[in-house]
Amino acid sequence: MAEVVRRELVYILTAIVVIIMIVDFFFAVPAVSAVAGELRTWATIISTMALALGAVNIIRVHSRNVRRRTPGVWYHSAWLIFIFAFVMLLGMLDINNPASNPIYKWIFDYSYVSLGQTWYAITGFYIASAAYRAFRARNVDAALLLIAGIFVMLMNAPIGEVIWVQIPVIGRWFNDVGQVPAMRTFLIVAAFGLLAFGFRTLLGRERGFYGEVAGG
Amino acid sequence: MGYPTTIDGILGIWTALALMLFVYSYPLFKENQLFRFAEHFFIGLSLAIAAIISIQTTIRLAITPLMAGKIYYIIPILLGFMMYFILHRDYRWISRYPIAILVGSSIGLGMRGTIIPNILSQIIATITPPKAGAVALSWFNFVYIGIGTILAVMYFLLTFEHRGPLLYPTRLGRWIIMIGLGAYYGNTVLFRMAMLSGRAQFLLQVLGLVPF
Repeated sequence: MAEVVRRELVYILTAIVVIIMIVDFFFAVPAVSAVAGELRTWATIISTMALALGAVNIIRVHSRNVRRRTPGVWYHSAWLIFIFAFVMLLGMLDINNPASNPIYKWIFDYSYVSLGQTWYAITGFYIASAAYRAFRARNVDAALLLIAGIFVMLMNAPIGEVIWVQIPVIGRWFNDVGQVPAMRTFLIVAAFGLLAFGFRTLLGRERGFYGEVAGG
Repeated sequence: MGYPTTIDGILGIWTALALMLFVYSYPLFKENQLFRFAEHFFIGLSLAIAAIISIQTTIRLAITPLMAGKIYYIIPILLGFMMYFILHRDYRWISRYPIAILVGSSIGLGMRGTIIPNILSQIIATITPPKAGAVALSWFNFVYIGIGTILAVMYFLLTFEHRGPLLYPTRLGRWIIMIGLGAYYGNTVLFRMAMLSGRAQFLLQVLGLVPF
């Protein structure tokens, strides 16, 4: 019985939800559409509440560091927990409009937004060395990668046109036409992959996302 | 937007600059305490903002309808809390129920939404020839895209080993994919460098060397 509740019912529930979503799209039965609409809202609520689960988990890990005074780490963990608690408190003062609090707004504008851009741009430091490794013409595959990449980069850089006036024209061809077959293929193949994955889930053969691999 | 004139504005841009330099001290020098300070600050801040958005959305989508009389909205709220059993080894199985609804709806939406735009539209776009009177280059592009797509899709035929009659078509398909990835990677490199130059511009702006 326990096995039925823990596993079989879960697979059946997943299959029912998948079927409702598909029937709603292809047959447009009003009653099914209403249920599908509610299920979509429920899924949004669950995923939103699950978002905070990540925060809870990270705070758990860092609390353990502080409790155990892990050398070289615990004070950073304490700092992380302090910032989390402080910003949460500021946000909770007016949960409907946290930006009305000037301190929250200041932290958001000058720290969160700025650091977000900084972290995203940090890859710029590594992309040059990654490009060097990727763009070495060791064989035909790598040579084609190199040629397409170089022309696209020089197309956008002013120096490209200075080197040869046709470089932007060729670069634009690679950008607008040359990469289309590959990108179209990725879309088609990924779509078939999603369909296969969906049918496996529907039949209860795809179970990794239930956490069964991790045990429990 | 000019250079800030208020105390909080000036303090803000200098704080942003300091945090930026703390972060970039890692790639420019090595891992250090200032980098880890900025790293943990950002994680704590992001978590708090994510949690606040999560609470806001839950109130808007679940609590407000519940208060308005839709009693059955207690179910998704309970399901949301059931997710937290994933943290407890003995009761982890309870979290499978909300996961079932999440995964079921995501896969259902994905399956129904993928056929037209990602399969049918792509095939239609591939086999639609240029209009009458089109220049030779348009026809060349049409043939290149058509044959290239077929060859590249053949590369993903994983049911058969790529030898015999499949050897050369799949090899050509791989070359087509390499051209696509090269162009994509070239764009990625440029985009990331543009982001980095934006940060360099911010540094110069804060120092007053270029206008805001």
